[in-house]
Amino acid sequence: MGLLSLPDCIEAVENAFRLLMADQHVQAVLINVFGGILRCDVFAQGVLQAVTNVQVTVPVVVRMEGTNVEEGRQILAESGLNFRIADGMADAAHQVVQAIQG
Amino acid sequence: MSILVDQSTRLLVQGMGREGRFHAEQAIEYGTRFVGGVHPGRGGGAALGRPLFNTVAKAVADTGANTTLIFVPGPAAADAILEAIDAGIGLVVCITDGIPIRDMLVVRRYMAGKNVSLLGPNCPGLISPGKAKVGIMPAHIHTPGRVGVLSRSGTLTYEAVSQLTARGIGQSTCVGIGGDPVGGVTFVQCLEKFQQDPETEAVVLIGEIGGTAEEDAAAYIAQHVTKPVVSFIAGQTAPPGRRMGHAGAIIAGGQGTAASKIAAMEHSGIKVVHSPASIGETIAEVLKHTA
Repeated sequence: MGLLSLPDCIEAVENAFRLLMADQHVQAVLINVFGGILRCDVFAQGVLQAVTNVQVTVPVVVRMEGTNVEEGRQILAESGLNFRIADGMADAAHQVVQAIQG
Repeated sequence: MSILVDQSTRLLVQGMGREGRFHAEQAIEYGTRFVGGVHPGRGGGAALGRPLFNTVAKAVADTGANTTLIFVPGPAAADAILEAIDAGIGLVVCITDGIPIRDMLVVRRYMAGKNVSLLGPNCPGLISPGKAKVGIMPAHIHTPGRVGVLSRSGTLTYEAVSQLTARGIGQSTCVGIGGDPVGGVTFVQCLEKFQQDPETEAVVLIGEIGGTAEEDAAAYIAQHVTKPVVSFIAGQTAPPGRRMGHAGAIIAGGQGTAASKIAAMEHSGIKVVHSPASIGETIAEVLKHTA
């Protein structure tokens, strides 16, 4: 349950982005979250904080569903970040491939 | 009908901290009969309009609770399970992750021969849509109906359920058995209940790498389950020796690969989908043929 509080969530997402950005082979990032005990609004805030601390240079596709999803989507939509928002798992996979192929 | 939880469920929550309280509140909102909380040191108080107790025994005596949902942190969670078993609770659902395996071995030995079912640990719990919610799953994605959902993964359970609901296909009961190597209720025990449940017409079974739960399920289905089963196995690209999120999700000594589980499933006539995005459409297809 390491994502439940906002500070933990920021740390976890930040670490994930840091690892991914350190790998030159990573061309795009797909975030797929179906929140149960994890609330989407907390996760969205965590992502926002994390990307201010780590420079993300590749396209990011976010698919988010579950607990508090409306609040979470709103946070991402109002963030001004250039994230692609996907509708469902198959759409997310399709979008991330499209992002790489241009 | 449904399996394990329904309108007769009288729910207790052990560990009324932030998470316990939040999910107790969600359970009440869903219409589950939440009868009280257990939180040592807060006995005699109240939360969410229900009494708080120091012990499970006292809570059972005063409320007639028959089901408990445990949020007690890892180091003390096994003790909370033992306390619930001792108090005569029939269904113990443990959400907590990170319980030491050694502690769970003690629990398993203690449970043997007793009239109790343990779901988890490290699980999302279970829900019988429209009847009772005993877990941490997002309520709004569920709809009452005739498909049973059974899984080792919380998130993939939600994924499958939302695909079913999006197609207008409801669920009888959705059970997350948990991702730890030593747990309680097995796929086989749930399959037995789904087979007996007149309201369940088909079953979605979501497995993952590690252990032999899927192989055991496949063998049981071949012998005893006449209802159609659609399965997805997570970890098809998992490298051997690496733990994939769940403590129990690991290919060890070449055993427990997705390929061997898929082969066992297909050998038993189970329809295995290769993408988690196709669970909903495949069940829709299967139901069309049985109707």
